[in-house]
Amino acid sequence: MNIISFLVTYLSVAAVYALLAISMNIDYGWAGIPDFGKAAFIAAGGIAAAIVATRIVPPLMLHMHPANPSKLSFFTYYNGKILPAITAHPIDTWIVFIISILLGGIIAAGFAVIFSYPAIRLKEDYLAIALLMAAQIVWLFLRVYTPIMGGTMSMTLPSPSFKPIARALFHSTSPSAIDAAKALFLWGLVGVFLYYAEKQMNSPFGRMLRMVRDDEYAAAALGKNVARARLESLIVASFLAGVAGAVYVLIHFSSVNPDYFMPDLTFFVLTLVLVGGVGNNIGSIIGALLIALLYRASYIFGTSLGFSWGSYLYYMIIGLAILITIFVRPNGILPEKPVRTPAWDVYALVRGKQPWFLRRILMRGRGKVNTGEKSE
Amino acid sequence: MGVTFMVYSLAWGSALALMASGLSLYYSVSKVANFAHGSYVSMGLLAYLLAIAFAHWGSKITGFGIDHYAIFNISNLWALIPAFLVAGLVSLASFAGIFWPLMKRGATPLQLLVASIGLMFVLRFLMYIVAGSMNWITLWTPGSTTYHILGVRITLAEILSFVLLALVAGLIALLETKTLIGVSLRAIASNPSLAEASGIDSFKVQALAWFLGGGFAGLGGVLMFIFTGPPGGRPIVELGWMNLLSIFAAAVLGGLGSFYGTIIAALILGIAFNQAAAWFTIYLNVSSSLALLIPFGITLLTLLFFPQGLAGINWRKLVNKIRITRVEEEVVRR
Repeated sequence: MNIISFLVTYLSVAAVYALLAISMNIDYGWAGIPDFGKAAFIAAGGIAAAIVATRIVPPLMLHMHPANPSKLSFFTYYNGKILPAITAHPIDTWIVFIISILLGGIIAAGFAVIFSYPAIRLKEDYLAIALLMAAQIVWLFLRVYTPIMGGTMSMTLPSPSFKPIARALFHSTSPSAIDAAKALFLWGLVGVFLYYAEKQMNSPFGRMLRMVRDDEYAAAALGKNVARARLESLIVASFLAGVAGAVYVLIHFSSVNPDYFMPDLTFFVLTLVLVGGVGNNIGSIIGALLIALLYRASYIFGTSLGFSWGSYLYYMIIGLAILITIFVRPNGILPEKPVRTPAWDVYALVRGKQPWFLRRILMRGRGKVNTGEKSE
Repeated sequence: MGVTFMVYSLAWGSALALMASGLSLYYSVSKVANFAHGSYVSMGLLAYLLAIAFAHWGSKITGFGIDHYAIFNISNLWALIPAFLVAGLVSLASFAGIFWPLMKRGATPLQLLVASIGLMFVLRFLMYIVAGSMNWITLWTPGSTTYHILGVRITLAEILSFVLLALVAGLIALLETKTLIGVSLRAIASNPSLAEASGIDSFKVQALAWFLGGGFAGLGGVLMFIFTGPPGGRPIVELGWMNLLSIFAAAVLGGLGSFYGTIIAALILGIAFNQAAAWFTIYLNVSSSLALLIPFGITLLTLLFFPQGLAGINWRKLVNKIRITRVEEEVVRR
């Protein structure tokens, strides 16, 4: 197997996981919400993609009748007419993608409000249970209710075309160039998510979320509305999860099936955040890179064992990764960093607690450097 | 609605009550919302099947062959004991090996929740090894001996689920009132630090609760498998996971941590769930798996209006209120 092509495929898979992990980091990492309904919010992206491809884009862009996945004639009509019509023009596939990520985010934010409303004021245990139930119900509902994505049969989706990008960047349209363009695009998207998340994290909103997580009563005493802060963080995180969900089905699978959103997916994403570092966005990305590799390796190793249980080896990997992290390094590989605020900068200047590479510059002409440690 | 179906619904509810009351029992002392509880349920089932397989070693016990031997009749009842013991010991081991050390380190409730998920995956993989090497990953329900009493069709599993639930409720009542360790259990549930200050060995008491809780879950798992088979056609290892939703629904409706509240809530859920499932298939022509909407809806309403559950409602006050309004109405009428 070509090592470059393996690496490119691995990087695009890891990028999708990184998107999911950043959205999980916002509500689990900052606000301390046990968001065990992540699968439902990711499913919102899948729902949006399915609806856009079957019902919104055909009448809007192609002057065709919308397709109804619950009808028998659906597959001949959709696979025979609509899909070729959309994939004929790269622009149309990108329109499907953009409408899907926006709609997915909006649906996911709506889900977040509905599912968390009854339990947002209660203890974590209750919220976890309510959200887990939501994930299970959304999954079962998508399996049973065929008009959205046709039940348990996989429905092919028009994946956004990377041919023009590959041609512009690498002057070739070979499969490896297309894969490379895809990986580049996905990591660009990770960069956008990371920029947004870092900005939010160091804003007053982000600091309020950490305060609510660390001491609910202190936050309430300082006049913060705890339930509202939690709800807002859940909405922001779910919007990102919906966007990531649309990317997950459109680019990662280029098809949609309710079984992609089994409630186990939540715990997989949770593992990425836990291992990488709770409350640290870079950590989440590192966790995604690491666990994607472990996951793939355990699958290949497990199926090569020749036992009927070999393909379930990844349960062991995920479970052990969670347990070892909780016991050995509860803060993950990269622990959470202190917040960057103007006040913190001033404090750092006074106490000399800057990063090592800035200390030289900031302390120039000040004589003795106070390292911040208390001397006797 | 036939009497047979009513009996079935109540028996289903009793099996759910066995599983959910186990969760309640240790939640009341340890305050861990344990997502690995579903694994104890499946562990009980696997122990039952393995015990029967050992008894018939040499016959065709792999694959669907086990269904022929594992039919629930009087001569197979002994296999419930290994189911109870294995599930209970796994539960005890997970408490002693994972949750207790974490609690001693001052882990937050969130960390305990997440640890329980890691435990769930590890246990699930171990069960896949057993089920996979015996070729039991998909099985049908082996069924149970059927009796006709006064024209009502009742199976042995249904009778036994009532009997076991009554036994368990009685046992816990005796334990919590007559023995020292049971009284300590209640003491720790209501005020852990005061209980420890008065010399109660917290670990021993909690370990007992976890052992009993896991064991009850295992018993409930065997009965639930006899009633429904693998839910939704999933592997039998996921029996507990697919029922986890209903277990938590019952525990929350009963008031998380209240043993008797949970039992009553599970019986109510049993009737509501099975009625809805029948209704959905007969009248709405949709899959009965969507009946899980009922426990979900009940849980959400509970959390919204009375988060303390059935146990948190002041029934005497409620009855008095109704009585007083009636008196007021009479006064107004005069």
